[in-house]
Amino acid sequence: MMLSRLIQKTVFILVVTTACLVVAATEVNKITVFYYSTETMVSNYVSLKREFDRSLASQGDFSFQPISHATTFEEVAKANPDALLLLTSWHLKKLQKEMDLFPILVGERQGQNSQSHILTTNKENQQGSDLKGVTIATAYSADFARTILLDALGRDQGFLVDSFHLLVVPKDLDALMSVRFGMAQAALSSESSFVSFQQMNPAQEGRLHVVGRGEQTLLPILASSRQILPSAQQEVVAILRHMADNVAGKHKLQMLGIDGWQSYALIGAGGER
Amino acid sequence: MKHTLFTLPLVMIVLITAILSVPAQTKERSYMVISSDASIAKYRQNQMEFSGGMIGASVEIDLARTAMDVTALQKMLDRDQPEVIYTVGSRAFLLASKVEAKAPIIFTSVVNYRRLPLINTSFGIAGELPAAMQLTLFRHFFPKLTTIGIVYSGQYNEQWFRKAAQEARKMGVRLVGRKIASPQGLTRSLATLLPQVDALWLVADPLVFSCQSAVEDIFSAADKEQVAVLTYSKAFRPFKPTLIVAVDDPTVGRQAAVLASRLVGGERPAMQVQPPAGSSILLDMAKVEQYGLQLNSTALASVNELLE
Repeated sequence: MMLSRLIQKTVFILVVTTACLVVAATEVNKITVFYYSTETMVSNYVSLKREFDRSLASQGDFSFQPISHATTFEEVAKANPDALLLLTSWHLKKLQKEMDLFPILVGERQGQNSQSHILTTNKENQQGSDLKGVTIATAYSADFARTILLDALGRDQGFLVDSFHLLVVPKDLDALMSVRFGMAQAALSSESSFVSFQQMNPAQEGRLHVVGRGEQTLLPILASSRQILPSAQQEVVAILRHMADNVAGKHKLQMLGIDGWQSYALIGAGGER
Repeated sequence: MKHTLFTLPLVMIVLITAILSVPAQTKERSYMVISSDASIAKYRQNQMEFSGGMIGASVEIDLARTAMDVTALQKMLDRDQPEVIYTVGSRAFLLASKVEAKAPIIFTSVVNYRRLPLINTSFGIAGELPAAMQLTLFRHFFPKLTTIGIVYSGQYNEQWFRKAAQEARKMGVRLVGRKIASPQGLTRSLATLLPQVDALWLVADPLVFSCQSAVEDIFSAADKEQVAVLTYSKAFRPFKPTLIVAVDDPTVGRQAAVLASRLVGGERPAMQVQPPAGSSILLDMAKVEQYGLQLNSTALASVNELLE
């Protein structure tokens, strides 16, 4: 009787332990792609999650999680070594000072893997110094905007940059329209957005003028804290890469402002942020 | 004595240099926020982003929870002496505008600010995106749109339509308008307008949206003609418009904070009432495909909500 009870108990413990190990193993294989951008304030998190989860969750225990705050993203990145991170190249460089992060893929848009950031105004022939105290509209985070403004106006122009009022808007087009319609005196945006804005506003009165140009930055980067990717992470990377091969997948990537990927290992990253 | 004569200017120079070398910091401000009803999400977003953009002490009043009349508010203002008063919603602005305050008053989330009793120290963010901003965004998503129809009443939107048509021409778009004198004219106007246009642009007009069934009729007629409906408010969402270009409420709060900083810094803005600086976009991809619209897919990065 006693022996039978002991066997029952042992079997029960074995079953429970095995179940825990299976759950733990499953958790280990669960890969989440965390996303945060310092270059856009478009609150499209629900749509992004739904669209990317559809592609990822159907092929494994994978998920996509957009995050709206930089600090939360950074905490999550540090606490989840198995996660993949999708972030801007400027943010990657910043985070690499605090943790090991290895870039895997870099986003591509119309064949380009990098973009320029420019400062524009609605007045011709303005110098940086003419802008003291103006309102600058931008979709960039305050830290990133400051970096680009110092690039564009000169590293010794900290006081000038501190004098600006930063109006954070959802997207580049809002920043450019803010200048056009008088809510701001200058806009900080990507050059590609500026070019399309100018094309949409051919009339001379609505045209904006470039007063400064920051350094080029790479488009969003997919990175991992593992130098050698475990197989589950490799699977997720492959899924994301293949999204560019069909129209529906490409549309999802376009929600992130890219339309494809390049392998980071194959690009010359020298001089780019 | 000679020693003092030399050292005093030297000490002064060192002191002035030290003061000037301290980096400029955002000065703390005292401000008052009056909300018509802080339980309304849009008002809450305005207020949250405004407070996030201000540094300093604030007094916050929610008129939906606090009994506040002109006398009580006047007492609070006399006691707290805020440098700026931020009001969210019409009720809050109307109350604040009745007190004697030296501080400028900024309003947001007001329907038709033109009805408000604005004085020299009243400033604000309008509740509607200007026609040219909406048109720019329409063209951003659908660059091939060349003819857009609008049904409007002369009573409410005559001037607005003329200005919008001018802006549209600059962008290479033709606005085709059908003016109605009463709600009864809506069906006939739609019947002649829809076959001529690539899209129908709904604008705020009490004669056009006279009742719920009028809205249903508009969407049904447009769908029958396979014409995309472009509109300005997420209130139309149940009727399935193709594109909604609405005001982004968090941006409105941030914009009010920038305006407040400039005002308390002694500047007078060029515009007493600014248009909203941010937009929030809803795109229905099923409608885009159903109507065979040519979408600029790079614009997808601007979409807040994508429906399929």
